[in-house]
Amino acid sequence: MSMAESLVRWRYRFLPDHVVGELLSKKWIDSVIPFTALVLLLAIFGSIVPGFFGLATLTNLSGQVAELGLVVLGLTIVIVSGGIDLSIGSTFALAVLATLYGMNVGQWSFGTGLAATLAVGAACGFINAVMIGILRMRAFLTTLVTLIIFRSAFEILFPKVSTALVTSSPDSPVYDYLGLGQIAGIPASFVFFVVMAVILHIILSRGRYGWRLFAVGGARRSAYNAGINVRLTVFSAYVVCSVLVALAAFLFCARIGSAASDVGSGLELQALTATVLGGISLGGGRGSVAKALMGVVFVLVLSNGLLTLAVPGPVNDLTLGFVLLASVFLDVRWTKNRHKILRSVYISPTLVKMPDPVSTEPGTPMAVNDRLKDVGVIGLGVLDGAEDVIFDGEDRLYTGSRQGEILRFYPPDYTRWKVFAHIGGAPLGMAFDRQGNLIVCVAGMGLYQVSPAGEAKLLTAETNRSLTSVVDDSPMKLADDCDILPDGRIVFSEATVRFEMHDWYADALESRGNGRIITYDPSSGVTRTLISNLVFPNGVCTAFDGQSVLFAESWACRINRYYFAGPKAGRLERVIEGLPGYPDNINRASDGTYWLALMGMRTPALDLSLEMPGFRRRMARRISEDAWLMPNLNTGCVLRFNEKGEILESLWDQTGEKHPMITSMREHKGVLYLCGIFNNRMGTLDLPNADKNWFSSHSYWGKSA
Amino acid sequence: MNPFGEFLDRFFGRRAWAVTVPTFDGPLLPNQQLEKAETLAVLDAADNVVSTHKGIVVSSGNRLLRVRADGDMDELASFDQPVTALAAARGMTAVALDGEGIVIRGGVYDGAAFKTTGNINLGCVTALTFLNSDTLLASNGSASTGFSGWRRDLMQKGCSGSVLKIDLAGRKVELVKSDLAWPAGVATTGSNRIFVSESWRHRVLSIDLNSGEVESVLEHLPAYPARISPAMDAGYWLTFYSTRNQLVEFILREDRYRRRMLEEIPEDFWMAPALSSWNSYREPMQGSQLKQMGVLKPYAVTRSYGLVVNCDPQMRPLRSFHSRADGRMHGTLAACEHGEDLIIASRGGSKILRLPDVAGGQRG
Repeated sequence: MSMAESLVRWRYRFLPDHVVGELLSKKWIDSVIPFTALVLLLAIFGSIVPGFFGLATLTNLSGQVAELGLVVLGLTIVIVSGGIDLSIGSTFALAVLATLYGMNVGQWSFGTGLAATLAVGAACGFINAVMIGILRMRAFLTTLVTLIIFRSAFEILFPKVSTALVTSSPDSPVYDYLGLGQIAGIPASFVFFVVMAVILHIILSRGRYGWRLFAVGGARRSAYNAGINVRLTVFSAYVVCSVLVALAAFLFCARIGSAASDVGSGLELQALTATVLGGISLGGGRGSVAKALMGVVFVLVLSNGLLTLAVPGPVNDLTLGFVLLASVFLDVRWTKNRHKILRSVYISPTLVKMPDPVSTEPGTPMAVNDRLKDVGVIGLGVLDGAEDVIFDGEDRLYTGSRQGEILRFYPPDYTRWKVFAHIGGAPLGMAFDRQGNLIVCVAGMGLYQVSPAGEAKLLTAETNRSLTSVVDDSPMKLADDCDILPDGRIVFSEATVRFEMHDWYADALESRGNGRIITYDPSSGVTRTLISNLVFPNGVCTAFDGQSVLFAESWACRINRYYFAGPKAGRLERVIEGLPGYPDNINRASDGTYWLALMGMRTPALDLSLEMPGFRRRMARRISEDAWLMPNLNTGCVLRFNEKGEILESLWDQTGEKHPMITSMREHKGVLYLCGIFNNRMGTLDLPNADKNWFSSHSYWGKSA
Repeated sequence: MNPFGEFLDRFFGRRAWAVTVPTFDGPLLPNQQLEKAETLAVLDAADNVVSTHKGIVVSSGNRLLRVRADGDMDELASFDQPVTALAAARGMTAVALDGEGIVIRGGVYDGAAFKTTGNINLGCVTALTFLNSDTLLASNGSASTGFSGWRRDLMQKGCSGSVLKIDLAGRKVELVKSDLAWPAGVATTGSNRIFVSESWRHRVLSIDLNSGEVESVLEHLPAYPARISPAMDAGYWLTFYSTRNQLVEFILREDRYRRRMLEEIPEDFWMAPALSSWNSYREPMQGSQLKQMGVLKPYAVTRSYGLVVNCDPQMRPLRSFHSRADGRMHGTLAACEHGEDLIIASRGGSKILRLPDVAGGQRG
């Protein structure tokens, strides 16, 4: 093997490409860019601004964080609900005026002062809320106008009281404590803010009110159709926002104790920059308290850092403006392209070197023949999505349908049928347990049990989450085939955790070990993953020895044996390697051997591409799925093998006229029944040398069952 | 184009790196007329149909046969090599043999033979046509391979084909145009211009025999054009190897995969255009070819296709006859008018087909 080749191998073995796509599908990925920006900013200012991490700076910063933080949280609520509030700066100014007047001039108590301030805030918010929430005016223009109105009101009132404000001082120890006191070295206002932030976080992320805000902001019409009172929700957002702004003003007054005539001007720029920078989408419906905080810290660190570096105020504002512009641009591009990026990077093929296939030359057991060309037919035109077939003690035939039903066909000719049970998902592999319940794997839904009376019950749909999973892999995406151990435990395969059933070909393209074997114990109700990182594990069959299960790995073209009891318990062995096709279900044959369905055949062109993951990745991105290179599922085959993994015989339909794809087969009383999930029929083949009384449940549970 | 732009084009799949394929639309709208056509005769490797006043002459591998109206066939001649092109006029038959050259049978130049010499290649003659009773036009697909290597030449982006003018009286061969990407058909017009189909570039060229001026008359075809046969009404019948396939276009831009495929995989199992499909389970399969409910959709992508297009004297398509993904009458490399009928050889379907009453200048 050449150096370059080993490097490529190493790269696909240890660099988990598929994680990129999974990370991109996480919700918190939105915050990665602002977070990185924040870390960078801290690193830059930390190294160039002297005393940046000093106690004085941090204390000052935390006081500012509390004030701007509350404003930004208020704005976050409005933006999440799909609106915007530009009047926050003016509201802030009015609330400051109210606080200072009450506390300094009026000598009010803490409680009265706070109530008065909040009332002023609520009043300002109410005006906005009525116009935007109830009268449904445009948020942008309305708040632009109230910005001017509130500011004018402030400027009319402020000169009349400014002298009085400066000449008196408040008489409230609690008020002073809130402004200047410290709890364990941390400013009291900051502690207060943290408490507020935690409460808001819980309300927004867990509470009903938060959920409604997000619903209204994300999709107003849908929220309305879902029964949410949209107007009231929008109304409340503006009131809450202004109250939080007033609270910030109260903290500001407690800390500073006085105000200039330009108090609160430019606050809307700061707050908007912080909000958008944190990753709260201006389009509404996306945001969180943590994001808002990230934005707040960024903006304050930036403006304080620039201040320390003696950068003039207008330049400071200019910088903020540019940061806002950049983050709005990123917000728009990101929201628009996120799904495109995700789609193009999610499929990440890996390097697979397939072993040479078993020969199908004439004279070998796998020799191509046409033994399946003339077979009997069941359910022509009725069946659609029959992946597996099984029989009960009365020779009745059970199979699944794409419509989410289990059909029961009646002997002797299997022309009469009825719906046995409705499950709702596509039934795949089936097995009968000792009590005669039908155990069935349902794609996208998990493992189900259907009683002899036809009542369906969910057994399990979740297993333990694996430690290294990025996306939660505990729900079952594609439970495929199941079988039952002598002790009653159910062993089943989940073909892939990365794709849904109808995207099976994307998993084939990846050919990575995305699947797992899971056990479910009906006595304890516990589901555990037994083996993971299997390449599309498919058919499962309990071996005749009662100590092991055989299972197929489709895209790896091999059959494995896992011992769950006996001297080799816990060991995994290879039984067959290098199959010429893709193995599907495995079932017992009457003579102590096993039937194996090959759903399709390997083609040299595809095998070659498996060694070139880059080629497959580009193919998946560049060309339509219609034209992708795929396993040849238009030629199926059934073969029989023994315990040692020797192939004994094979049955083919070379031209694929009647049975292009074979997903399962079951021997029952001397006849072999053939299924294909995309086929419109089920085939029957007489087996002249087979035991005419053999019935699979007898083989599992003895004649008494 | 600067190298960085080239890199960007490659990354985004733009310009030369776009793998888009034109659709069958307008006069090329798909139908099933080749599938429904009457079978005149069943013949393996049916190719090169030529109408003579004694009947239809057709080639099958090394043999030359005459097909009677009832479908019976008489062998006219047999050669050491497969017949790759055929032309008949005024009692003369020009036969091209794979890897050998051209021989003339009958007429005044009986026995004349032309072989590869110097820069004149005659080992891969794809089409022959008489310009006049003393001059033969030939298109030679490639300088490096015989006719049987057409898929290799296509997948190697071969560009060594040529068009030749053969002076039968002077036994001279003159090069008309070289460096063509598999010229697969040649046809005369009433003037000095000739039409040449340049298959791998999906177009038909018009070449002026006097000035050597080359002009593209039919471009961006959704399939690989093959031979051009004249129609009674001064139009033409254009036949095709196969349709273009997005995956093939993609592989043509994937050099490493393409090289390994050509080296390591037997030709029958290449992901490349073919004259017929589903001959072995080891042939590649593409997404939309998956049989659902036992049915292969006619609109599935396909490696082999049957297509004959009727063009006007300016080579503009007028109507077309198709055999689609679900059909068998693929690899229709030759067609000729015989009376009111159009006779088509489907190499992939191993049949001689007859479409009654479509020829003779009638418009459907």
